[in-house]
Formats: sequence, structure tokens, C-alpha cells
Amino acid sequence: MKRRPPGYRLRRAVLLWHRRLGLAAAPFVALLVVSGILLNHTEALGLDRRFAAHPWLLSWYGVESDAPESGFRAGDSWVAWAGGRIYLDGAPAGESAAPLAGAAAAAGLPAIAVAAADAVWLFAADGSLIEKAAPVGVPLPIEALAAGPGGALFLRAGGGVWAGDFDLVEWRRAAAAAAPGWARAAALPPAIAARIAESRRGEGLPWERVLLDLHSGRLFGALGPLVMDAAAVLLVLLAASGIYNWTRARR
Amino acid sequence: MRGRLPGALAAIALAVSGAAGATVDEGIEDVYMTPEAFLAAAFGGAAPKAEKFWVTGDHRAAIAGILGHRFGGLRLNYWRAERRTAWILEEIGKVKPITTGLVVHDGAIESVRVLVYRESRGWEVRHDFFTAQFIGARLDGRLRLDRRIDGISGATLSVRALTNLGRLALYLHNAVAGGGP
Repeated sequence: MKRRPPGYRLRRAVLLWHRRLGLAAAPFVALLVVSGILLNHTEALGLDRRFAAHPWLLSWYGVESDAPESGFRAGDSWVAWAGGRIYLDGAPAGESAAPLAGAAAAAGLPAIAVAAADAVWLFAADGSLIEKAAPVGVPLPIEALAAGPGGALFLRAGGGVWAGDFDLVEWRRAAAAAAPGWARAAALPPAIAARIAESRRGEGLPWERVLLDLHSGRLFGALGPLVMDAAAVLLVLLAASGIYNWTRARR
Repeated sequence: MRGRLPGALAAIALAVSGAAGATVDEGIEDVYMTPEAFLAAAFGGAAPKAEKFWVTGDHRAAIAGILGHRFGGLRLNYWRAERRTAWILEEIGKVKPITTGLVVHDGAIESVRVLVYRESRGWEVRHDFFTAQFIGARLDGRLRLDRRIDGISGATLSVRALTNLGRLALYLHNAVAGGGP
């Protein structure tokens, strides 16, 4: 019978388990490395500004639409607000942290004025932004907006009425009776509400979030982080057994 | 494998480094100064009537070059008294716009004030230790500031946004008041 050198059985067992651990760890290493590299370059890759739109993924996250039910009729268009964004006929047109105070089309002008608590926007009829301006001199928050003939514009704020025009340059105190009628919210047409809903659903889940949850294991539910913890321990054991094998092989 | 450390060690280090990824921003808005207060400070209490700057033709291309993206809008308000102009401009830091007031006098930045900050990180750019770096800055021939603006750790995108707004205010001032490179 051939005589084995001292420690042979231990070295053989460690080598065997090193291979098994390596095979078991391989998919986790690949997952961690790929997701880790992508997360390290989130900004360059724009992953925080790109959104997952796959229905099954959105449903997995429980992302539901927060589309508005009402908006403002402005000429032939509808203006609505949801989640910090202004929508013109269902398409994203601008950003506003605050909900809208009103929107109205100017009589005879191909433009739409939109007001929120601290700003006034002017959009062209095609939805392109003409200007966003802070209404200097008007006490905030703006509560309502009205459009009059000849490009006249009125804001209700601070218990008073302020008159200006579509130039958005100067605002002066006006009599309450001067405003022709404040813009009122109304139920959005179903087609526009559906368009906003689809857009909102797609903006609720940045790819950065998906990658973070993939990296940590949270994407796979409550047990996911524990599995990734086990994988991390596996990597430590793999490293330890690898170092052992390496040092024994050098002797 | 002789003489080489297991690759798993490198993989662990890489994976751990990746685990420190960024979090998703949440919507917040901090108002540090109103436009009225900014203009009153810029013009000694009596702000002149606003004027319009139309972003057309060559201006549109130059502004896109400064910001690194297309300028949203056709026109913007500014305030002017003699050789001093004031601008209230917005630029996105990471995902939200930073509203900033800038005063330019004789082709050099006189003051920079962050009026509204909406990002969840990087708000340090509102402090004087950062904005004071812009005072006296001018545009060079390549529409860049004639000095280096030191960054702030963790506020890289906000620093870049304010630097670009400084360049933009100087460009706009030179366009309406003449001068510049």
C-alpha cells in the first residue's frame, strides 16, 4: 500500500471543497461583479435616469400608476400634473414640484399659460416650452390663474388678484372683479388620463433601483439578502481554501 | 495557480465596492431666497423692470454648448441697470432643477445665490465658501470660466450645474451688454 505524505487527506479535502465552493459561488460572483460594476458607473450610464418599462418587473415591484384624474382645459388642450411633472395632452412638457394652480389658453394667441404655487409657464400649442418665470412681486403661493382677452393673465395669490400678460414680465395689483373667471380643474378625458398613466408607470422604477436590489438580493424577496449573505460567506471560504491550497502547493 | 492569489479575493473587493451604490432621490424643495429678495439685493432695493432675452439662432447653439444639452425655452427674463445684469436661471443637478440667481457686472460675476435647491444631495453648493469662488470670474475665448472652481465631494453634479450657470450668465450678459471674449 502506497504511503501518503502527512496532511495529504486534509489537502485533498480542502482542494475538493475549494472546487465545490467555486462552482457554487460562480453564479453569485458573476451577479455581484456585473451588478457592482454597473452600479459604480450609474451616472455615466444614466441608469438613474432610465426607467424600467417591463410590465412584469413593474408588477413585481408593485409600481402602480399615480396618474391624475383631473386637469385643466386650455383651449383645445388638457394640462395635468402628476409626480412633479406637467403634462400637456398627456405628454410630459415640464417639471413642477408643486401641483398646478391653473392653466388657460390665451384668446387669439397660440400659447398656454400654466401656474403652480411658485412659477408660471408659457407653452406653445405644440407643447414646447416658451418660458418658465418666477412671478416677481406676486406673494406666493399662487392659488389660481385666469386668462383674459388680448393676452391678459391674472393670478390669485396672497388674498389678492394680480394682473399681467403673456410676456410674464410685470405683475400689478388688480381688482378682484377684473379676472374673467378662474381656471377650474375638470375630469380628464379617458384617453389622456390613460396616456399619462402609461407614462407615469414607466417612470416609477429607475434601473439603478433594480440593480441595487439585484446586487443586494432584495429583488428576490425577503430571503434574497440572506442568500446573498450566504454567497458572501461562500466567497470568504473560497478565498480561505484557495490561500490554503496556494500556500501548501508552494512547499 | 502557483504563485498567484485566488481571483475570488479580487471579486470580493469588486463586489463590496459596488455594494456602496447610490440611492434613489426623493422629492424635496428648499427655498433659500425669494426672487424679490435676490433682486432687491442685486440692485440696492429697487429692481428695474424685467427685459426679455430671446434664445434664437447662434445663441441657442452657444447655450447648448455651455450647458451640454438643448436649452428648454425660447426666452427668459433678466434685469438690467447700467452695466449690471441679474439672471434667475435653472439647471438640473442630478434629476431636479437648481434655481440660481446670478449678478454680472461689467462682464464679471458679482454674486451667485442658490434660491431653490431640490436635490436630496449636494446642497452644500449654496454656501458662501463655494459660491464665493465665482466672484470676479469672466468668460475666456472658449466660453469657459477664467478660473478653476473647486468641487465638493458628493456634490459633483450640483457643482457642475452651478459652474455651467455661471458660464451661461456671463454669456447672456455679454450678449445683452456687449463685451466678453
